[in-house]
Amino acid sequence: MPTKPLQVVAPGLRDPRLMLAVALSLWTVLGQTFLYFNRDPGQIAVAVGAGCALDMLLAFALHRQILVPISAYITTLSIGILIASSDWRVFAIASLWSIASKYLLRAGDRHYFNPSNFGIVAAVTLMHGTATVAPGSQWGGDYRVAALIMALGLAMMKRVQRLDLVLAWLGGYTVMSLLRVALGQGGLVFALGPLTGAEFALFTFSMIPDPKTNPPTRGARIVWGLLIAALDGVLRFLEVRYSMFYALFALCAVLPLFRQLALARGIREADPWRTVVLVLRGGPEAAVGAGEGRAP
Amino acid sequence: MTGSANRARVRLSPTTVVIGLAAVAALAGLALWRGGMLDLPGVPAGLTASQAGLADLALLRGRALRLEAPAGHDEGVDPAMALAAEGLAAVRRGEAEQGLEKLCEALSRKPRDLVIGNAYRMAVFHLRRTWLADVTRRETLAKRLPPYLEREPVATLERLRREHPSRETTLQLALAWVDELMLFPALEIQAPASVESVNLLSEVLASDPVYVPALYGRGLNYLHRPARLVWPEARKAAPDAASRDLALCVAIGRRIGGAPPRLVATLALALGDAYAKEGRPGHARSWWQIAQNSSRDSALLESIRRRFAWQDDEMLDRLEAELEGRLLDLEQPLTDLSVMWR
Repeated sequence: MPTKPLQVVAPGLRDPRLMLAVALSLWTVLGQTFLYFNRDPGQIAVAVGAGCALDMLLAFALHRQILVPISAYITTLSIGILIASSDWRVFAIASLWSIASKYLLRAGDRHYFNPSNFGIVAAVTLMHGTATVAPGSQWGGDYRVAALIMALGLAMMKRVQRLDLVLAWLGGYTVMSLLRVALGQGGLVFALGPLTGAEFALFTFSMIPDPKTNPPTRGARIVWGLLIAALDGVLRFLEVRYSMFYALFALCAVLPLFRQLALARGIREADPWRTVVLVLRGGPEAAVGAGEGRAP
Repeated sequence: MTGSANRARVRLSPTTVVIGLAAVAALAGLALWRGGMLDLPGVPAGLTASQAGLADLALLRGRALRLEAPAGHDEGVDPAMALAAEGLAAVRRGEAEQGLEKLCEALSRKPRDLVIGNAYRMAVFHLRRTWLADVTRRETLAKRLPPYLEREPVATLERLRREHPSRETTLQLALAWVDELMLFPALEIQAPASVESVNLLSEVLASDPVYVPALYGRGLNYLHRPARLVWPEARKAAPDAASRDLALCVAIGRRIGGAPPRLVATLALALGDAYAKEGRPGHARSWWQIAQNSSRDSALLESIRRRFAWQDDEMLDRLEAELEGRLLDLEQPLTDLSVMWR
């Protein structure tokens, strides 16, 4: 059996993850300085460090790749911002779980759980009482910041071709909120208020649009967004906390079915990442292109 | 992706769009009608600031400032106010007994005056507190208060209420019982004092259901009761007793308008606390957020930040510790009505 060539896999300049990583980093810096994120930078560093290290280790061990861990950086930075705990080990464990899910829970050649969502759901479920999701009030109550984030987020979604999904989710969320209030659950401010929070923005613009963990067709993505909203609305009506994360988790579990349906119609999505692959030894030559490095 | 699935347009006919938008608008209308913006209770139509006890807050502020002003600035002040100002000045000079006598006399002349009543109650409160602190420092076993403080302000306010029954005199007496429980935080004093206070405030609210100071006082009373204890001599209050009173306060305040930002934020914070106690953390955080947006008061913002750090399952315990700390903050007692006009 021939030995796999050793490859260096890095994001190309047109890789949509680069923009997301820059936006998320800027967001974290602003959050720590102006926007009242109230997070411990040390805990964020633990989350990012542990997750990136594991991603690089697994990529090397399983695929003989030296990986620039841009996906792990995005995933674990989200975890660092979203999880709240006084115990730093929670951040490391949640990050490790999220990265491990990419390698261990796969249907065919692709993972189907959103890694950061998986880490967060696992943390709040298995470390109940120790880990929680930070309350969605991290903008310091300034609606202008929330509006700016929403505008920038939507522009970014257009660029990564996930505007359909995000608009379906936002529309579905709004309708479900109105329905909950009409059924007697609180006032409009409480139902629609979460739209302006950091938790919601991160979920909307970083978690659900992850191209690797949502359906490949536009129609299916709209249905996907609406289903997340419907399930989230029902869970919210039942006063279940972390409802968005549970809803996405439940739907990701059936994502392989959506992919099968698409495949039956002859649709197969190419790897959305634009990676640069440099073959160090054992292979023919360097390659540049979409997904050619099969970044995990 | 193979094919053009990613770029495929999802086409909707204009009729579908119009029907969809109409359905969402109808749903929004229904939601607005059912829950409103803040899910606050209804306020009677035609409610006036005077009925709510929120009339002339600026005037009350002016009167309070005159009361605090040094002697010689009392031209044009009514005799009761002048007498109260003299009494306060005497208390400040260390002539406590004479000062309190003058304040009592001023209150007898104007028994419904909230500014004079509050000044009298707060003067007694601070004198008793200072005396108790001195005794504790000296480690004296006998903590008997001097005769002019021993049964005050309850005795004077009970007499005043008998002679001049009104919502204002009953309110001052109810708050005097809360003063008592703040100074003597043992359960055997706290419980009956709180029960007495709630009974008096309920009496006011039975005839005057929109009187905001009484609603606020009763709401705070319920809020400060330990959730896992039943007060002796009283039935356990409904879980939403505090939030009902405080939500009505907020609803009336919004209808009347004109309240100072700090008062708005204080009410929103208290309502958030009431929801936290009731086991509705989502509502609690929303109201704390509203409180945060309403005022730039640094102490208030700090106490809101502390609340945002609480997890759901520790919220009740952390809240009770926070409330106990607030109750024992004797520098700025909770019962000081000047928060209304300050």
